[in-house]
Parts: sequence; structure tokens; C-alpha cells
Amino acid sequence: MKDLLQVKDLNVGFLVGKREVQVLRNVSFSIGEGEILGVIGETGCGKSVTGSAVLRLLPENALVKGEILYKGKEILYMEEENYRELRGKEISAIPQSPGTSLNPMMKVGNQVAECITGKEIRKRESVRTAVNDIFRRLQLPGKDRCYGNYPWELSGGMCQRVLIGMGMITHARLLIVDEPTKAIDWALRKEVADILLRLKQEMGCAMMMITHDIGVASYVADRVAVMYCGEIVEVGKTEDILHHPIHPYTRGLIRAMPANGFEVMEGFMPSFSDLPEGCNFCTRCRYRDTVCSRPQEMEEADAGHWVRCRRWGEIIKSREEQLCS
Amino acid sequence: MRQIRNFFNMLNRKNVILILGILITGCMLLIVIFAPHLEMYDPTKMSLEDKFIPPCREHWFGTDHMGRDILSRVIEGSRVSLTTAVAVVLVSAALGTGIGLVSGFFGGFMDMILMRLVDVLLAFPTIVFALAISTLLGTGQGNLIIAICCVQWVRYARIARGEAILLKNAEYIEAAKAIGCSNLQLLAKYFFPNVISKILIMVSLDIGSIILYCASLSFLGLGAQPPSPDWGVMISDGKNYMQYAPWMTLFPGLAIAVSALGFNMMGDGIRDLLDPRMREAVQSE
Amino acid sequence: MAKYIVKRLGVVLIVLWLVSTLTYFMVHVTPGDTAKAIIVSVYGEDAVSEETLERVRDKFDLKKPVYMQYLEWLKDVATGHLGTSYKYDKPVLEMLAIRVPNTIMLGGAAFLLSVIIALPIGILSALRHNGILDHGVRGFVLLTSSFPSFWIALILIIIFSIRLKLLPVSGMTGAASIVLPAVTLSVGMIATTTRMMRSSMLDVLGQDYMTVAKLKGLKPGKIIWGHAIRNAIPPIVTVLGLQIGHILGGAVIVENIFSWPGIGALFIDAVNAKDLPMIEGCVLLITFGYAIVNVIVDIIYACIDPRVRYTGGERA
Repeated sequence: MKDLLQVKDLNVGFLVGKREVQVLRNVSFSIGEGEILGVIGETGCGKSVTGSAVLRLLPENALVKGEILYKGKEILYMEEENYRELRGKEISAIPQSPGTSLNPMMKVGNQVAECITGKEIRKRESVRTAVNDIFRRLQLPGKDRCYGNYPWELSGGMCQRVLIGMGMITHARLLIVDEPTKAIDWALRKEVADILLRLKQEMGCAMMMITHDIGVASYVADRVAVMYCGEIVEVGKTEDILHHPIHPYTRGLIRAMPANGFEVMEGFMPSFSDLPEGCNFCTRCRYRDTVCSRPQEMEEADAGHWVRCRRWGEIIKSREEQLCS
Repeated sequence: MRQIRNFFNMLNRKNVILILGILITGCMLLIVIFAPHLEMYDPTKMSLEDKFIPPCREHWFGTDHMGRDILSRVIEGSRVSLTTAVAVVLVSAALGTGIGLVSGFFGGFMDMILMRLVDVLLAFPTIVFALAISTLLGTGQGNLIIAICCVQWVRYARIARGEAILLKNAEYIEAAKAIGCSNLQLLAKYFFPNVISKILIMVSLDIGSIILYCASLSFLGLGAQPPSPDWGVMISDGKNYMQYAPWMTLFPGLAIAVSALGFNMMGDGIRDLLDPRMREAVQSE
Repeated sequence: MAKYIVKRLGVVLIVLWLVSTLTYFMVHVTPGDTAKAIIVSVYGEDAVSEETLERVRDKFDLKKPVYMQYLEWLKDVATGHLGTSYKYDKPVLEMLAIRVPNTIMLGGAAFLLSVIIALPIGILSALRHNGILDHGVRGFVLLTSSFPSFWIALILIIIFSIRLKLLPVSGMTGAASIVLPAVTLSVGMIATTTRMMRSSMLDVLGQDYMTVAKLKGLKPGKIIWGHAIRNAIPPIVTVLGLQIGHILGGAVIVENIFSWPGIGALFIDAVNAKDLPMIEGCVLLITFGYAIVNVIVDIIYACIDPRVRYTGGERA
């Protein structure tokens, strides 16, 4: 599979006063054509910052190092004007809060239409048809009914779908989806997940799906990356991560899912300005050892299954012993 | 202790304006206190052979149409003008907060009547209303204070009432009621402390404009009467001699502007300091 | 929409009634003898005698009890008779009518001037948040809100009329004479409006939908015009409406200084002369003007903000 997006050694810090607080450390991953990568982790682990870095939406006080390649082309440092050409057309995004992400003074139809008209000159009628078509596919009341509505006349779920419509109407190759289910009722969760899946099948676009909802990630994603304290601690195929997690943090996350017994991990994520030596997770880890106080590298534990834990071999062994006994 | 240190750290970094404001206001305060010692001449002593002397070494700000030293009059005037403004703000803030709190707390018919009254008062341009009241009361320092208070309390009442209504529905107020706090206790222990910070910010922001209001009304002849060295009155005197003696207008006006500026800068700085977004940025350091 | 306007107009009527009643009683329970005040204001102190007092009381209906006077006065006001000026012995309405266009002209000029200057500056300083212009604007706002307008007026006169001899000192004599009063009147409004425009714009710029607009790959100009300014303007419309009140209040002082023959100068004149019908007339007119302007502002607001149209006037 050809890599559509490659992120190499991405480091992001924020300048607060005169100090720099590092929030992303050596984040590397890639997304293939038509592949969905789920990025999971707790709130504040840096997953949204990663998304923003790809979209170049980081605030001005951010210090960015590393490389981001889209179709082999460097996009992190390219001219703003050139990147603007990519936005919407090649790289698109679905923002996280449907309630505030739509302009309250503009009809939703026009807001979606703007994605096309901002890029190319097309007849008004054909744009309108395209928008209505998208709305129909997203199961919004069609036939121009939704087009003329203002965002505050629609429900949260409908707004979310309008936002998804914005992301997909330009047939972007890469879609960054930030917490698609965060502001939505539990019952609508699967619906949105289905829409995303259908999107991928119909349009073949790749996605980076940022979420803290492991359920949705496992349902939609082809591969999953787990983030903790600004680092990717484990990445691999969805079923590998879900059924054979190696990193103690991933294992903790999965055990904490309601379906797996709701066993909550001990302790809290440390603050970015106050990280422990070596492995960030070592203070909460039950496999802690002396090697843990040294910096940890990503190591390949299985084909395509990488983990940032020096003790992965022993962990796998102990897991097998557990299964045997 | 740590809080105090943090406070000063914040000052150093971002709040040049606040510091300047405090400095200016502090100087003004010193001038008000030590006015008699700073004056080189008697501010009310007339001497007709000395009239219309332009600013020079003996008379830094020049002299007026009656030969009085303008610098001494400006210094003496700080007592009249600034105390008027401060009195207005304190009285109207106290009155407004009280009325607003009670009105919001008890609600009902009285609240409705009061708020209609507030609406009506707000429907007037302030100065027009103050002028109309002055007609009723007549001229003079005290009447000027009353006239402006009559208009100004409304602003505080609105804020206090809004806060009170918000608070009334807060859960910890319900809890306090449940454990048997009387209305008076509720008002004193919960509502008042919650409202007072907002009111104080407003007061600090308002003093500047109140100084201007007072000056405007005295300029129109409704406040302190000559020969009292009020700044507004002095400018009004100077207006008649603009051709030969512009300094008569210039310096009292500058005095008004500098004192209003001091208070405005202080108010602005305090607001910045208390603006939650800014505070957050500072705290995360 | 029509219902909304009617409702707003109804509120205006009630406010007018309350204001007029308030002023009526305020000036009619004036300490001292009204009749005496009239004589003093018209003929001077020496003319006061039992005989003249009696004549004036007869002429101005001052003998009846206050509430009767009030009821009659209310009837007159409702039918458009605002009484006769004590000082000029002319119908108040007539005198006001002559003055109104002058005040509208002056206020309109000041209003336009401040809008033309304040809105672009406010928008620009928000776009370059914490830039040089932004700090400059903050300084300007602080300064202008600290100088009394009557003093600015006098300094402008000293500089432009007395020293440079460019513009007339006072009065209404041709186009040049409106420059100084309009500038003076607009200074305070420019400061407030700039600050409001700036903060409204900053508010909007921080909204999620601005990020979304950027995500769509729209041109920066389109993002700012179509999304930012479109959303930042409605709150400013309300602010502008309130500013009209400040203009009316400021006009009282500015007209007085520049001897501009408007309502404000007439009002001060009436206050000084204790010309009660004139005071009432002026207050009523100023309130009326202010209230009407605010109804118009509300209607404009409803036209540009779909949310108001939708909910029929109940602002969200």
C-alpha cells in the first residue's frame, strides 16, 4: 500500500511565557491510500495536536519540528498559499464540535457549497445539486429542505452530518476526523461510524480518526495508534491492538472498556511539564523495571505491530503464561 | 504570600498600563492630601495687576482673569473635583448594588417595577437627565453629586440584579437554604461577596468617566460655584478668554484628563488581570 | 416581523409616557415659586411684584392644583401641544421644530464620521491582535475616553479657529462650521465603537467556525468578509444604537460651546432660564428621538441577524 501521509519525528512544543512545553515527542506514523488510522488516547495526550499539525492549524506560539509528507511532498513548511490549495481539495477535516463549528449567520447549504465554490468556478445550479446529493447520502432531509436551514435550526446530529458533508463534498484524499462522536448521543454513535465507513468504501478516501472512543475506533479503523503523553506508544492492525495489546498502557485502556470489565487504571496521566525519566508510563506501570528509566524506542514486536516498551518480550511471555495456567 | 507574589509577577510581565495607572492615581492622591503644602500662592487670592500672566517661572501655569495662580488653583481643585467623583461613584455603587441585590433576590412585583424604572432611566441620555434633575435641585456641589447618582446607580443595580438572579438558582444557594439560612444571612454571606468583585471592577472602570461627567456639569455651571477652584468651573471661566489666555483652559483640562486617564488605565489593567482568558494564560506558566 | 415592530413601538409609547410624567413632576415640584422664576427669567429681578406674579399665574394656569395641571398638560402633549415657552412666549413645538434639523445634521455628521473611522480600525486591530495598530488603538481609546469633550472642543477652537484661523469659532455659518462640532462629538463615539468592534471581531475570530472556514481552503479575504465580519457586525449595530444616546447627550454640551442652534443648546438655555415647558419639551423630544432610533436599530438588527427573524424578536 502506498503511503498517502507520512509523519516523521514530529515534535511540537508550545511557548508559554519564556518556557517551552513539549507536547508531542517524535511522533511518527503513516497512513496508506484509502486506509483508516484510528488515533486513540486520553484527553490531553496530544492526539488533537497531531491532527492540527497535519492541518497546519496550530496556534502561533507552537514550535514545530519534524516532517510531514503528503504524497511524498513536504507540507509542514510549504507556503501558506500553496497549502491553502491543498486544504479542502486534498486534505479535508471534520471538526469535533458540531454545535459551534457552523457559521450561525449562513445557511448550511451555502456553507457546504462554499467548499466547492471557494476552489473552482462552477454553475450555481450544479453546486446546489451536488450539495443536495451529499445531504441525501447522509440521510438528511433532502430535496432542498435542509439547504436553506440555519445551523441553529438543526439538531446536533444533523449538524454533525452537515460537517461530514463539508469534509466529503470535495472528494478529498485524506480526511482528518477529530472526535466524531464526542458531542453526539450514545445512540447516534453507530450511525456516525457507519457513515464514516460508507464514506471510505464509496469514495476511497484515507482517514485519520482521532478519538478516545475505542469502540468506534475498533469498528471503523484499519490500524490503530495509541498515544500517551505526546508519544505513540503502540501502533498496529486494529485486531492486533484490540486482542493482543502489548504496551501496558494499551492493555490498561482495553481493560478499562465497559465491555471488558471496567477496570480503571491506577493514577493519572502526568502533566507535560513534569514527565518522569525514561518511559512516560513507568510511574503507573506494573511491569516497571530498571530499563524503564531509560528512553524507550519503538520496536517491532510482530509484523507491523510496533510498541514503545523495552520489556515487550517479557510482557508477551507473561501473558502467554497467564493464558496457559 | 504566594498569591501576592504571583500578583506582582503578573504585573511585571504584562501590565505596564496597570502600573502606570496606579502610579498616576497615587500621585493624584498625594496631591489631594498635601494640596495646601504644594500651593505656592493662595488659590483664591485675587490681584488685578497680575491678571493674564502667561506661564512663566513665577506662575508655571500662568494666572487667570483675576490674577489668581492657575497651578495653585488646579492643585486646590483636585480636592473639589476628585472628591466629588469618588463620592458619586461610592454612593451610586452602594445604592445600586443594594437595590439590585434585593430586587433580584426577592423578585416579584417590586422587581418588575424597579426594572421598568431602570429601563426608563436608561432610556435617557445621562447628561440630559442629570441636567433635568439639576433644574429641580438647583446648583451646587452636593446637588451635582445627587443628580449624577440618580442616573448612575442604575448601572450597578442592573449588574447586581443579574448576578443575584443567576446565583438564586445556584445549587449551593439551595443547599444553604436547606440548612436554614435566613434571607438576610443569604444576602450577606453568599450574594454580597459574589457581586462585590464585579461591582468593584465596574467602579474602577467608571471613576474615569464620572470625573468627566462631573466636570461637564460644573462646566455648564451646575456644580461648585465660583470662586471655588473646581476644574470644570475654571475651564468655563477660561472659555471667555480663549483668545488671550488659552492656558486658562488648557491646564485645568489637562488635570481632568490626567486624573481620568489614571483611573481609566487602572480600571483597564484590572479588567485585563481578571479577564479569565488572560488569567488562564498567566496561571499555566 | 410586523408584530415585532408594533410591540417595540408600544414599549416606546410607555417609556415616553413615564419619562414625560417623571420630568413633569420633577420640574413642577421645583422649590420656589414658578411664577416668580418666570418673571425673573424674562424681565429680571426688578419686575417681581404682587401684580406681575398674579398676571403670570393667570396666564400660565399656575393656580390650579398640580395634578390638574398635569392632566391638562398630558392631554395637551398627547394632542401635540407642548405649551408655550416662558422665556420666548412662543409655542415650544414650533421652536423645537426649527432646531431639530440642525441637531440631526450635527449628530448625523458625527455618527457617520465615527462609523467610517471606527469600524475599519476596530476590524484591523482585531486582525492584527497585539500588533502595533492594536496597541495604538488601545492607547487612543484610553486617551480619548479620558479627555472631557468640552475641553477638546475648546482646544480645537483655540488651535483651528483662533490660531490657524481655518474654521469658524461658532454658530452655523456654512459647511465649514460643522467640522469642529462634529469632530468633537464623534471623538468619544469613535473610541467606544472601535473598542466594541475590536472585541466583537476578536470574539468571532476565536470561534470554531472560523477554523472550519480555514479548513475549507477559502481565500483569506473571503474568510474575513464572509464569515468573520458578517458575524461581528450584528452586535455592533446594537452598540451604535446606544451610541446615538451618547451623541444626543454630547450634543447638549457641544452645541452649547459652538453656539450650534440645535436642541441641545436650546435645552441648556431652558435649564438656565428655568423655562419649564421648554425643558419638558426638550427632554421629551430627546427621549423620543432616542427611543425611535433604537426601534429602528432593532429592526435593522432583525434584518441582518436571521436568528432574530426566526424567533420573532426574542433575542437568543
